[in-house]
Amino acid sequence: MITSRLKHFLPLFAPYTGRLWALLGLTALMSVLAMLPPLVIRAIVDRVITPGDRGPLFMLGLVMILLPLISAVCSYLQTVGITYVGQKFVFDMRQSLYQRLLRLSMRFFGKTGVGMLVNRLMGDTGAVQNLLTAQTISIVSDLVCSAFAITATFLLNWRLAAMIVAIIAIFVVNVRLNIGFIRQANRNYQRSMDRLSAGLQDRLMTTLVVKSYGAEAREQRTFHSQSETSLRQVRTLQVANNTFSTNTQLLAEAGRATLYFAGCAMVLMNLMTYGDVLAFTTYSMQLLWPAVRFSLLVKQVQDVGVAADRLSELFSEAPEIKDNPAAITAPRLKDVVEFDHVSFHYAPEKPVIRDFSLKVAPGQTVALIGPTGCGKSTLLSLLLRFYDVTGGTLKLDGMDVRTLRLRDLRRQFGIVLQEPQLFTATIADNIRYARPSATQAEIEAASRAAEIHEFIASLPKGYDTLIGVEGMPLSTGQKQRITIARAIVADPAILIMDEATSALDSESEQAIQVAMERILKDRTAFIVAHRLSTIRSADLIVFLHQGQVVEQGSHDELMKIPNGRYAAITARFMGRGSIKESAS
Amino acid sequence: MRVHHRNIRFRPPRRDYESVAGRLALYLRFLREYVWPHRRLLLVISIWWVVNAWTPFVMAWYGRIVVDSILVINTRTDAEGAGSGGADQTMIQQDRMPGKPAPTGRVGRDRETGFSVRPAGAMQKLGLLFGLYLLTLIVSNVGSRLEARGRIRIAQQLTARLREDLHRKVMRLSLAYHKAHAPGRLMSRILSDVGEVQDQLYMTFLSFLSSFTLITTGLSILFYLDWRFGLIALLTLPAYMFVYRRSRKVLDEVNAELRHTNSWMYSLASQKLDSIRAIQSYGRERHEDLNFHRLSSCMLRDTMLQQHVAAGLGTVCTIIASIGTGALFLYGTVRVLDGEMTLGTLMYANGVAGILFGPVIALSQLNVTISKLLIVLQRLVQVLDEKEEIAEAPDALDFPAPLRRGITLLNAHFRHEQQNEPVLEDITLHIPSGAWVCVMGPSGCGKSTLLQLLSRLYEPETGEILYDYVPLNRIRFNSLHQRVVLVPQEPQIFGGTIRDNICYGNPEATPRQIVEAARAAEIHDTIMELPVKYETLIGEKGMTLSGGQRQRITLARALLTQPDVLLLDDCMSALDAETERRIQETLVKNLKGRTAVIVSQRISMALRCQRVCVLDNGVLTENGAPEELVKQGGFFSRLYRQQTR
Repeated sequence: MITSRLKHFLPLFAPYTGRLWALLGLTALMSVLAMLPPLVIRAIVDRVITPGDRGPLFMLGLVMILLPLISAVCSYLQTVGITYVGQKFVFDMRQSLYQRLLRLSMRFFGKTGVGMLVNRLMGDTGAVQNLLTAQTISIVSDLVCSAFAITATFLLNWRLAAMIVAIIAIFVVNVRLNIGFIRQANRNYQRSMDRLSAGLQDRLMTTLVVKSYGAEAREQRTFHSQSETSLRQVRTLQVANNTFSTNTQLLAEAGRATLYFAGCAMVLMNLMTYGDVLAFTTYSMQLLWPAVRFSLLVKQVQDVGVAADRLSELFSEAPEIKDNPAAITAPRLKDVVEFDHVSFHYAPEKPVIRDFSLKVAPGQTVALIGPTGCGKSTLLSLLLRFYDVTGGTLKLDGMDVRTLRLRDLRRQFGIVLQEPQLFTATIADNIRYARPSATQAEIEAASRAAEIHEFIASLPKGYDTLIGVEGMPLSTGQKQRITIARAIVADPAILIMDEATSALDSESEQAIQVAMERILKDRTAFIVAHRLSTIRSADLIVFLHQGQVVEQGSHDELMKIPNGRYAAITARFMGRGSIKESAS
Repeated sequence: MRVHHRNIRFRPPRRDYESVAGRLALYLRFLREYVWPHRRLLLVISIWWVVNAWTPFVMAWYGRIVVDSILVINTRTDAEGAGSGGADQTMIQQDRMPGKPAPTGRVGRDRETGFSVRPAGAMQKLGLLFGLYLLTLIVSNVGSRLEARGRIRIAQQLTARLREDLHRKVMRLSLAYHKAHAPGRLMSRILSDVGEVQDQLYMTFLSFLSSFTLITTGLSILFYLDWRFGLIALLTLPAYMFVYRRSRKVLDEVNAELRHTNSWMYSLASQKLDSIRAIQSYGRERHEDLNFHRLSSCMLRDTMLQQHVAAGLGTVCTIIASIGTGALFLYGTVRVLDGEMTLGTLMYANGVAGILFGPVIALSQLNVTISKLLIVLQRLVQVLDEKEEIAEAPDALDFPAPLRRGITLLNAHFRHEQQNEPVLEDITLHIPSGAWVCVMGPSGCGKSTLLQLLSRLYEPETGEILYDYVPLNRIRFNSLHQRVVLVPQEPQIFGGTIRDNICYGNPEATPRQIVEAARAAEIHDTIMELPVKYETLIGEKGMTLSGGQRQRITLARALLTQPDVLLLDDCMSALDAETERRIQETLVKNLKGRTAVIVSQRISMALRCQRVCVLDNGVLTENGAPEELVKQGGFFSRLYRQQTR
């Protein structure tokens, strides 16, 4: 069971096999060293004190002081070694998980919350690491100790040794009785914690709304009740844990006492010496403590099992969109972008794009319009291959996008999205995000084209101003213009703009448009916009409705269609007549 | 220790807020605020810890009785003949004079002669002692069990209070604070930092108490048994002190750095995963791998450093302890051989010394725990003590509803902390009650800020905002936010059903009211097409909505509250022209007589308003009826010509 859960993690240990073996060897050595002091004490009692012979005392005393010294040094090496392997392991695991996450498809991110992913990445990895490194070492150390102790105890006195075996059996019963309850409590606790953190994240992301509706008190109550629930679960869990561990402790102590007194009774019956009893009791601890640790370990495995399961789930999440094994490098787009009877759906019963065909000549600007939710943004996602088409083909220069290398394919595009995504970094870094090699002159030129240069230049630190979560606040319009500048720096063959200029006032948009015309000149572009002034200048306007093309052509062509929907909307939007009419 | 370079990208240097001197005060403050209310139960628990600290000594003492009075094992002295002397006599002697040698010499099993002498009834006494031993064990165990229940209860209540205080504080802090602090980092404080504190606040105290009792009791017993035993144990203490002091500073520093890196890793990961679209579409995955790698490596190096120091400390402590115990045992052996001490006493002293060094090591770990705890407390205090920039006045009034005279802005100035450029400069404006005002201007000119000032999400640096001549900062938050509702530019959706999202501002709304609001926002039909309609889950775990759908849901949310003043911040930008037109028409019908301040880029919206204000770079440049402004040849008339061309 455990191994199948861990199959995703064990390979990560491969680079450290050598070190791990060394650590295990060290552990074994330490365990043996730990078994020696009882023998020394026994020797002192039976060989020195009882017969009153001072001869061996010096040697024994030296050994008695040297042994812990050596053990302590070994223990230092062991701790540092375990930390190294453990931290390297968690480091590798995080890195590989992060790399995987960054390459998963949009569908995955659509259904999985970022907060949850971050918890997996940061919290669960640590838990698994701890089990696999620190615990593995302690298991080995326990096994060595136990083997040594069992042999020693049976050699010393088989009756008492048999007693130890009986006590260990009681341990097992204790574990069996408690573990189910603890497991359940733990699961409930995790669940309530997830709920609490999801609620909190939501609230922190939407502070503006919470504040503007004055809902702080209500949110406080919600938090209070969620926090209460989670704390009640923690309490149940902790009480269960505590019962279990005190039981275990009681068993260990009582077991030790029984052995000690039974041993003393045997001394009275002349069956063994007192030195034997001392050594025996110490050994019994070496045997009973591993039993305690093992039972605690079972509990930990439970805890970590949950984390490991969740991580395995993420690790086995295969990127839906990935390079075809025979993928070819795509040269910069020269010719046509073609949608050939493309259809797409997220769920089979709800088609989003139906039988969509379109040929876009190089350098053309295509405006996609239509009511909200008609599939415009989805079409753009298909172009970038965030999703694969479910029917038909999408071709760049006559090549199916699925046969192209993903990296090359996406390099063709520059995108500007509805919600501008900027990072915590300087403005310059944000602009050169797509092409880190861009020179300062290129960045400035792009900013000029996006009508943002003057603003940036007016800042005290100019392009080196830090923006993002903890940096300078920007308006949405400014953010959008920075993403536009970023797309320009990328120098893409195809430009994609999804509502890119919605937050800009018409004047800035107009200004950008002049610049855009220059940039768009020898590029294919897809633009989703609601403003007619933006749409009108496009070479090709595609009117979508429920995933299908209703009308398509240039502005003038569409206006000529009798009873055309485009013409109707244009008329309604523009035909407000004079100011007086509409102001009243 | 080699110190590595930590100032890497995405990890700004750590700032220290608290001086070393303030640390004790910080700890005491938390004790006073969070632990003090539980003082009664804690007192009981502390007493138990002290009492329980004595049990190991009692246990060891039982062992001594066994050796000296029941088994009667002692060293063989040549002066004594084999088997001479009565066992009973020996026992009596020892009982009267503890620590004195039994002159009768060896009693017990003689290896050479096989002859042994035992006190009468030894078996029974052994049985009795066993019973006593078990009894002590069980009492101690049951007591600990009860005590743990109490401790868990305190920990839970304490955590709950701390968490709620933090949450309340965070909710109260201004928007400016939230803009400057990533949600991920605040979350890590409220959830994981508080989790670290839990019972640590008083556990440090309890374990100090218990360690202290163990050490003092142990030392007293050793001194009582033989002053030289006590001296040996006492000599090791300065060595310990020296070792702690040396490690403490490094550990503090590294722990602080570690937590700092950790919180930045959270922040980085959530930010990047949030912007996954931009990363994937520019094919920058490898670059992002590297960013993560850098931060992760920094954490790795710091963890290693921390472990080096902590393990080093532990090792040195163990070595000192084992030299101490070893010396003690050997000295005791010599004493026994000299016939000046019984074996039982030696075993007892050895046991006590073993118990003694344990708590000293625990004390050394306590140092580490406290330094970790203090760092967490510092991080919590940073949030708890953050100044609430916008607070409710103690004598606050209710919102003057219904609004009769209107809203007045008098010379309002505003600037963001980080920026020197003012966002709004000297805005003076009167909005009559019932009027619709359209605010226009180039992007970044301060339109959104103006609306946020009106709903008191920010406060003007100078100048005043008045509702019916009542200063805004003297209106109670609750009544203000019920009457003045802002619809933000970027729609914010909560995890929950569509219904929950719409009735956020008015949880008691009837289904009819909800449907009406949804109709007015032109989202009702879309919702009805969904399989479970209004109960559809949206937000992080639910259905993905398009930008336009999100905007319409937030609009419905605002309309449902029936506010006196509606502030719309360009909240229809993602809608198509047709939908927007329909919404505008419904708004005109529904909001007749209510005051509205609308930020928009669209001339069609402006034309529906009685007044248009144009902001340019934070200055009010045009202000008047749209008919007048269009003739003035300014920004508005240019816009008018562009859009109606």
